[in-house]
Amino acid sequence: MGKFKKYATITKMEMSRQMTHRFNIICYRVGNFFEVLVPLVVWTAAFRGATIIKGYTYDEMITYVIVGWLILYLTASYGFEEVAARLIYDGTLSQFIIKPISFLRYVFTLGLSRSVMAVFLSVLIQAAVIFFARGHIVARVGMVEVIILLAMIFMALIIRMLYSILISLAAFWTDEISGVDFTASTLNKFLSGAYFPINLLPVGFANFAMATPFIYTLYYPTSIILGKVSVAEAARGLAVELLWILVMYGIIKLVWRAGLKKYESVGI
Amino acid sequence: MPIIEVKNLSKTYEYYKKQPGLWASVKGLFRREKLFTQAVKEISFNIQEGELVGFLGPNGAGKTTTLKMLSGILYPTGGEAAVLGYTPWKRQKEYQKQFALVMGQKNQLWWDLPAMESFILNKEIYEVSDKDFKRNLDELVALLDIKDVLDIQVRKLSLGQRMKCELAAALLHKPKVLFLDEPTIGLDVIAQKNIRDFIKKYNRAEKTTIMLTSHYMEDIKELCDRVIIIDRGTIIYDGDLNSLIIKYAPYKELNITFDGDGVTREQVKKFGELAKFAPLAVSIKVPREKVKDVARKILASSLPVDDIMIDEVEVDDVIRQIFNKYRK
Repeated sequence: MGKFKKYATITKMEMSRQMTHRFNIICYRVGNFFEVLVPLVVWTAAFRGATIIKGYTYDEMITYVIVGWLILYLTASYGFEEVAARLIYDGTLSQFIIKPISFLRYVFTLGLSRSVMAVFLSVLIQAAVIFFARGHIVARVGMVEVIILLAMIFMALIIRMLYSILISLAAFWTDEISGVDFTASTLNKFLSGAYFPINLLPVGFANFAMATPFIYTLYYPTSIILGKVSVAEAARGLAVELLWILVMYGIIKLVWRAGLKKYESVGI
Repeated sequence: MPIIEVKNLSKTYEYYKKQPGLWASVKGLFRREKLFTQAVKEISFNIQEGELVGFLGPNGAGKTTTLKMLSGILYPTGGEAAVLGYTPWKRQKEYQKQFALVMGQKNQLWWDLPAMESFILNKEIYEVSDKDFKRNLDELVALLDIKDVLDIQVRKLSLGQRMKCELAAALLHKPKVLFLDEPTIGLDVIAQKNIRDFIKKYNRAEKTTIMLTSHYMEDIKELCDRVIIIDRGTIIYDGDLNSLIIKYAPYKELNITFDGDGVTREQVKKFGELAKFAPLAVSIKVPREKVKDVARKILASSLPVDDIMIDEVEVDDVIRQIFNKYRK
């Protein structure tokens, strides 16, 4: 139990630190709100000329956007990549090498704690949007589906954190990770179905997307909510997610070892 | 058994040559020249428990690199070292819990939170008991006089206050060995003195073995009985400061001021080598064994002496001399 006390302390400290930047966090959430507004406007226009687009009714699409983005916010990383990368750039990493604490675990804890306040606000805003659009929200879930969803979303959060850590490790090899970060994060968003449902893509691309871990942060859980995925398929999805967590963990360990070697040879 | 044993330790860095200019940058995208620099070249020394040793040298001499190897941040390219019986670069938890490293230009305290929060984090990282933590904290807060700054955001503290908090954070787990890398750099004179006083007191009280690097002579003079001088990766002197002065500055300075019309060069030339001359103030270099005699002679003479002082040669001058000698 003593071993985990330090991570509990880190969580508390990071949340305290977030409070000191509350204005900044609120500003970001306002921007997020507009992000959700865009697809709502576009789809509303698109559905003026059709009742079903690629298997989605208007209400289903609205649900897809609003609930989907809610799930996306629950599993997002909130600029954590730059924070972790900076620890490598400015040599703070050395502190972790000489203290009995793991840098990777520290950074993972930091990432999760960073999200707490942002998620709280995001959920608040999305809940308000859901309330306003409640006439259009479609949810075809029972107890079993809800349990699967909770597990799926939780694991999606872990996957996103691992992905962010992987991005920040690029700091070992380059001075400026903003390019890597932008492309990797945009790829993540694209393949999560944030911009449009994955099945709108040509079959080949759609299949490729389904094989990535990114679909679990929006498309897959939302499909479950819309009743487009059977319980059996959803359970299979959970298993694949777990596999992805193990794979990403393994990749991080390899990249970390290589990066650390590089860090030492340069002598920061 | 020495607490710190270093044998033929070496470290070579590799880096890429970066030429100035735009065309060179473009070329650099395709092919870069890899170069090596030997930061530390086969150095050896031993340090006993409780010693306060100064590691002195110009910028780039290899001081920080050596400390980084002894804390386990860097792997050496050759040689061996043992601190408290452990090989530092193995990074064993048991070793990490017994030493601390404070670097003058880097902070470990969380910027946006009060120092106290970072102290608590260190408490958990090093697994210090509540009782020990309270006792150590109270002692350090009193010694460093930081009671009033503990609850202020670190980013709002002055550099001197921040440095004190950094030291406190590093000592909460009562390490047996403390590595200090340029702890007084950038501080004002008063803050420097405070830090020095603290280090001296702490070393005496806790018998913590301390290795301190600096390029400020004052730090070394005030704190260290033993000094290791390093230049361009090699140790050029290892011994106590007094012996250093005696060996490399076998003379003392007689600083004399005169009344009335003063003196002429001829009148004082015979007493020794004139370091400085003005009719009313003179500085003469005299070999140590002879200095009392010469002083007596001057006082007994008819010269209008107002005041006479026997001074040690400035250590800075001694060190400068040593560096110049070894660079030739």
